[in-house]
Order: sequence, then structure tokens, then C-alpha cells
Amino acid sequence: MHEGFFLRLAAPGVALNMSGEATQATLLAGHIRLVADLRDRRAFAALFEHFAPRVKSYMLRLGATAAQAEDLAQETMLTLWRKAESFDPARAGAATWVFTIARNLRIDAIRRERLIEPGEPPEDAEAPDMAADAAMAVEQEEGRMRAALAALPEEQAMLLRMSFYEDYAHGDISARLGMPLGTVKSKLRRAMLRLREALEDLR
Amino acid sequence: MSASHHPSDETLLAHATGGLDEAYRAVVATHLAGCAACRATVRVAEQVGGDLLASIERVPMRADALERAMARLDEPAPPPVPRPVATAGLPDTLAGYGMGRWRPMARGLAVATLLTPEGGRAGLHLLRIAPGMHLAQHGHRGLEMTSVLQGAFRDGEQVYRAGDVAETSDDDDHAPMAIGDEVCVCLIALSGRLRFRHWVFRLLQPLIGF
Repeated sequence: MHEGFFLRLAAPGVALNMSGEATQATLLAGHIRLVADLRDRRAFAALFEHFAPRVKSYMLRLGATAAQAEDLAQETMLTLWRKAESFDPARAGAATWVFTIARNLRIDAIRRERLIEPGEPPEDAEAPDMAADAAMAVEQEEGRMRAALAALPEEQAMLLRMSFYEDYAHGDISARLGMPLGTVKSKLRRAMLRLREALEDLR
Repeated sequence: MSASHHPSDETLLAHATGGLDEAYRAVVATHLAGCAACRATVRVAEQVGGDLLASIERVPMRADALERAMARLDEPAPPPVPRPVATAGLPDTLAGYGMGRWRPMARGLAVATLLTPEGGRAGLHLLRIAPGMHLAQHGHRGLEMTSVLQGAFRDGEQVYRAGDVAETSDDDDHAPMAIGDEVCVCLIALSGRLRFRHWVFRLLQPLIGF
């Protein structure tokens, strides 16, 4: 098991690192804007260097072969290039946006036939002229999220990680940890509640 | 329309991770299309995903990976995949799911099965229940997730209307009943077979097909 990896979530260094991380998030979001507005290849290269190895890692964790993970990371970055205009920093941070692209491409790859993506809810009409303020709020939210994650009980944090990084339905997590399914679910529910509360304070 | 019964937080979390079986995903997506509150919760979970992606350990790409990517930037974008049109009367979130024909199960009760190309463990069905009709008392081995598309049904004390989602798991026995004047249409995802309490329904089960 990746114990060190799980533990890192609760490490105090994560919280201390908040301002540095937020700056990087702003930088990445700026790069995506450059790609959207100017088709800036250097910005794309910087995004590639940052995200592709992480997306590859994510795909590997979910059971992809090295070749599949490499391809899905390539597809994710190409999608970023093509859809950069749809990145709305007022709605999501750069990493969150890239995560959703990677997640959706993985689901698509699993399908035998290509279908529409049913997971995409209609866009909310949010005032675009507020973008700058909202982007700041998203950045604050991300810092808050990181702190909230770091403050979660270790077990809840581990279950959250397993939800994202191991291709297990909750029933399988339950079997693997020898923890009753109801317990897994209630711990995840508590974790989600805490995260929501942590973000609501901000709104 | 604002729903009064929502998917649980852990279900919305599973949706955000991409870990839900296709059938459940379709039910959740159908609810999300009309529920801003649940979309906000999914966004919270997606932020967790983003945060984990930001802190995941990196696995090096192939040496020529960036070069390959840069070479592809000028490729014309693939033509947009034509969006399949949803069967008349069904929400857009169900476009692309082939639909079997309506099979009458009993007076006032019909089922149509939707094809789920990923072939997950859970099946996806549409149920039409005439007002006043109720489903036979049954339990489940897996999770049953129901989204009301039209009309309403009552399950015990609870009333579920269009836009609402009911999650029933494990061994809860229930006998939902359609109420109101309108035919109740539900989208149901379930894994494991239903376990009807009454032997007649158990006998009929192979014919009903779920």
C-alpha cells in the first residue's frame, strides 16, 4: 500500500505550503488563459510538463497499462489545448479542471462505443464580468480545501484517496479494508460534510 | 424545479471520482441536470480530485512525449461527435442509451431496459407505473437508485416527485406506490436482482427480466 502517499495528505507541511501552492495554481490558470487567448505554445509546454506526468500517474493508479496511461495523458493535454477557451477560472482551479478532463477521457476510453458524456451538467449562468474576483475566490477556496483535507482524520482522508485513486466501488473498498460497507459510506459522508462546511464558511 | 430528495454525499463523491457504474451515473446525471445544490457538491468533490492531482507523485512521460504533443497541436480537431438524440420524452442525459421496447409486467406496470455499453454490473431500466399501482414488496442485494422523471411515488412516509432521487440499499424491503393523477415514470439503476417477498413474483421474475 502507498502509506507514505496517504500520510502526506495529513502532513502539516501541506498546510504551511498553502501560499506557495496557491501561487502555482494562479500561474497554471494564467498559462491556460494564454493557450486560450493566444494559442501560446510555450505556455502549453509548461502545462504539459506540469500536468502530463501527474495525469499519467493518476491513470496508472486506476489500473491503466503504461502505454494506456501515456496515451490518456497525451489526450488530456490535447483536450486542454483544444478546449482551453472553456476553462473558467471563476468555476474551478486549473488542477480541478484538468482532473475533470482526465476523468472524463478515462470514462470514454472504457466505453466500447463512443457516446455523449452524460456527466456534464448544463453550465450555470454566472456573471462573467465578475471573473477576476471569482478567480480570487476560487484560489482562496483551493487553499481552504487543502487545509480542510489536511485537517481530516487520517482514515477519512485515506478513504477519500481510495475513492479517487483506486478503481474500487465503495463495496470493494469495504472488502479490501475489512470495514463494513455502512462504515465506509458514513465515513465518506462525514468527510464530504466537513469539506462542504469548510468551503461554505467562505461564501 | 427543486428536488427534495437528493443522492447521498457519498454517491455524489463517487460520481465525481468517475467511479460509479454507468447505470448509476446515468441516474445521478439526470438528477444533476436539474439540481444546482448537488452540482455544487460535485464541484466540491472535484476540487478534492484536483487537489489530489496536484499532489500526486509524478510518473515521467516518454522522452519524446512533449514533442509528440506539440506535433499534434495543429491537427484539425476531430469533428464533433454528433450528439445522439434522446428518445422522445426522455431527458437529454439518456441520449445514447439504446432503449429496449416497453414490456408490460402487470396491469399498469411496464419496463423498458436501457442498454449500457460499458457493461457494468448494474442495469438501467425505465419503469412506468400507473397511478395507484404499487410494486410488489421487494428487497435488494445491491443498491437501487431511482430518479423520478414524471409523476410521483410514495415509499413508506416519503413522497418522491419529478427530479427526486431515492437510494435504497442492502436489505431494506419496500413497496413503492405511484400516486397522483399522472403515470409515474422512473429511471432505475440496480445491481443484483430484486428479491420479491411473494413467491408468485419470484416465479415471474425470469419473465420480468430483473
